[in-house]
Amino acid sequence: MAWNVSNESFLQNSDFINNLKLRAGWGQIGNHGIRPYGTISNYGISSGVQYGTPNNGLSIPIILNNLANPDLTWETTEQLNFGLDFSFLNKKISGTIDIYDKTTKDLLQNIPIPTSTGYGNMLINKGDISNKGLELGLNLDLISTDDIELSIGGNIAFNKTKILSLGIPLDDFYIDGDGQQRSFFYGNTISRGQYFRTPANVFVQGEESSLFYGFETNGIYQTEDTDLLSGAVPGDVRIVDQNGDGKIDEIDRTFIGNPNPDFIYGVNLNFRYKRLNMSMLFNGVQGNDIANGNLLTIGDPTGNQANITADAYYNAWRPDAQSNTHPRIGYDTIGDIAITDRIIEDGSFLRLNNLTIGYDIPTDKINLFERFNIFITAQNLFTWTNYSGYNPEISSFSYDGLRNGVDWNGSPDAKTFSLGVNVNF
Amino acid sequence: MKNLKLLLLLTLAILSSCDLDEDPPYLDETAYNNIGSIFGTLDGVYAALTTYDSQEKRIFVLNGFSGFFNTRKQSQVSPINNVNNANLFSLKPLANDGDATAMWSGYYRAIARANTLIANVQNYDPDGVTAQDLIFKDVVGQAYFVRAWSYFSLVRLFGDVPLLVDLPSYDTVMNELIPAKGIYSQIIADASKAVTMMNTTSANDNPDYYYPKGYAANVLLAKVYMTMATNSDIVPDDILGSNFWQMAFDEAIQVYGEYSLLADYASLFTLAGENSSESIFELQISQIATNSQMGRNYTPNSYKPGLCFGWLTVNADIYDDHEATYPGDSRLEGATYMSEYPNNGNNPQNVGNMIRVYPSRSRGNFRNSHPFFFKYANKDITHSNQYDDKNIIVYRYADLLLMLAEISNELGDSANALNYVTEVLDRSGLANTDYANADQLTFRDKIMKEYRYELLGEGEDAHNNRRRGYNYFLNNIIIPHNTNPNLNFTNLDLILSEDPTQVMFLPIPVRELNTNELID
Repeated sequence: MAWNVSNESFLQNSDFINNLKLRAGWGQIGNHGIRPYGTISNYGISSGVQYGTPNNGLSIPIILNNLANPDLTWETTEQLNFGLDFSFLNKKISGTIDIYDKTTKDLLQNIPIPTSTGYGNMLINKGDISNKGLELGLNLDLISTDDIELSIGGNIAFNKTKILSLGIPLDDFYIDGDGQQRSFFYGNTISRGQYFRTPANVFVQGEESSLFYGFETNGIYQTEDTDLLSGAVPGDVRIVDQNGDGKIDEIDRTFIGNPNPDFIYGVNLNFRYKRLNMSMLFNGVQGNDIANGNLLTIGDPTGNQANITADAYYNAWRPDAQSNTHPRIGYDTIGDIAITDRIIEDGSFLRLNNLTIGYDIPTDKINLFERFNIFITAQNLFTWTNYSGYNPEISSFSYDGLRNGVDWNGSPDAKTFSLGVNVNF
Repeated sequence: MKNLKLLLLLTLAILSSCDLDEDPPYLDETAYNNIGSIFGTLDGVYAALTTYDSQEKRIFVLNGFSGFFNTRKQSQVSPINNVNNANLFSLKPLANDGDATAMWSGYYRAIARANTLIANVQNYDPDGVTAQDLIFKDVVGQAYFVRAWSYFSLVRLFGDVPLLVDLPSYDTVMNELIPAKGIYSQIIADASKAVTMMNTTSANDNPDYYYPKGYAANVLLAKVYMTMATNSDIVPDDILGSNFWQMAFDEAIQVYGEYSLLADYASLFTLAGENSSESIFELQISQIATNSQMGRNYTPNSYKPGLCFGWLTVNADIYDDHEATYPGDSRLEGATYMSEYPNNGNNPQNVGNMIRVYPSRSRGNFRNSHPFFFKYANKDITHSNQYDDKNIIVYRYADLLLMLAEISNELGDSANALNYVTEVLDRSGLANTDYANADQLTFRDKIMKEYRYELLGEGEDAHNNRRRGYNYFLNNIIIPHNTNPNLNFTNLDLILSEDPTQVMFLPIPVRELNTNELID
């Protein structure tokens, strides 16, 4: 539903306002994402399930491959949306504003289930989640003459998620040592290897989605410290004993970070001076945390053959050179029951994602070409960030909604330069 | 003409109508009621016992938690402090031990497959005598056996555990812990059914039939009753006060004489010893089935080309004790242990160099101070595949004979107790003099050690060591190790925990706690 205000008689002749449109919308869409026959029992062979025979031959067994869930249904998203499109001053200024309130019900999730069932995961509809947000887009045509053109555009989006319900019973959940009755479940375990063999995220009713859950830390135990917890030695990381019971266990875990950004934004700039043209595209994210799992291997002076950062080695705690930033040589997190806030980092960044500079070579004297433009393009040219990993635009587990904001063996994003010509005949 | 077109269109429409209720490209539960596929479903159950979780990890955890082993796995500069040695192998298991977590899911995967088979096989008469009835009855009996065996493994390691016995279903994924005695009730019920349902002869009739005979269930029941004989806490209420040694004997004696010992002990752990007269319960492994990396994980480093990780080495004092008790025993070097062999690994420059560890050399650093555990090694020094052909024996006749010796001694039948253990010693050419002269108490302590000389690392040590309770474990295994003057606890040997809250059970895995709403 829209109201084109600028068509009304009181604005029709306005020199200032060219377009002003108010929009409102409500809709409901379904997302099934259930593979064919996902609701029935799948009996049959399975890759990797084979048995031997006495003459060292092969038997292909028949098994029940899944826990069928006949109750599976579509997840539905209900959205209420208000928007405003506008342009002023001969369309030199134009933009859109949208606010939305979106509730997704019967979330379709492949959740981890107790392995005592004989299975690891099951597809279910569980929980409702709310997304509320504001999106702004603005384009400015600052200069537009025959010789010079300059335009700037930008967009910014704020979104807040909240888990409305999870459909699972209340249980003891600990925040800062304080036990509460909450409905929650943990995300998927990050790795099957030695390090990070724990989930990073937790999904708690009433909170934002997929918060980081683990131990808070407070520096390093020093030789003169008298309050070492049982099992700790000087040089170990000082994990905060939230409930003060003298030992570190599961109930000392608390929220240690939030992978959801405050806002994401982008800016593009187009500039032309006579035959020279230039465009820039920036994108950025602000206010999100990343669980940098790589710090578990390279960030502690584990004393094994694996690589570590120079910082971890040179600033390692030593009896004669005590450090409050890095643990002792030989310290590692293998076997730890949760991650610590030592690997949680601010993931905010601003990236110059694309820069293109081109030049139109005059073609007046060459009949063959209508336009001959040579250009150089750089992608991923600069990134401004405090994140210590390779790439704040993390791609680990991008397919897995139960492992959010975790950088695990992520690879760097390459810078790309290309030189090219655009020819029109 | 127009009508003809209409007719054609109508015909096409009828012929091409799509049916939304098309049949899925899967089998359904009729696969469990078809003589052509029933063994495929049974192989699914046994295949669950040969997954990496339930075989390679099971052996690693059982031996790690026995107090007899240490490991080079995940060993880098200071292997004695690696996560496994520092925790599981020192009897200080953690709830997030990755190997125990994997083993847990391996056992429960086998249970789920057995549950599926038991629930789905309907098309037979349990009392029938047709060929088909007998086959289905045996197959269902096999599933009961695997379920009982898996729960028996779980309950001895973890204590109270979830109990699932129905067709796996989406609405029963959360299951609370059931007290151990409830688990034991189920084990006895299942194993008793298995005894009556599993074949006892078909292995002889059909060389391609490779499932255990019903006697395997008798062995299992005997082990259950032996466990109850010394621990009344786990006894189900309805059989409290029973004579469990006698009940164990009644089961074990059914098996006596049905199998025989292989003449050559070492051949049990070679391809030539597969499915032998001594084997009571054996998992079928084939390289082309890619269902075992036991050789990769447990062959001493550089013993052969390809990957050999040498994960398990035996504590030096366990070797020393065996050697001192039976000097020159043929079960030592080359059978149970390996301490000296030519390098035949991947680096041509090192091939032919001798690799020596204790006792073939003096103890220097952690890595050369313990003999390799050799039973699960791939013996073929030209083999370079990471998968193996070698079957895994779970129960064998020598174990049954030692059980009969222990049980008979407890029942006061010293003559037969001596006979049973003598059969085992005879194979290795060892004298029974010490047993012949032993009183009941001495016999008991000796026979408890005899299990390890004969069966070290085969999966029962962790259970046998705990079966007689914490004090027995402490005084007969843990303290003798921790106080052994020949060991060097500074940098060569592990100190075993003596904490009763740590050493008796593995903690329920964190993954289970995190996902199971009914377990705190």
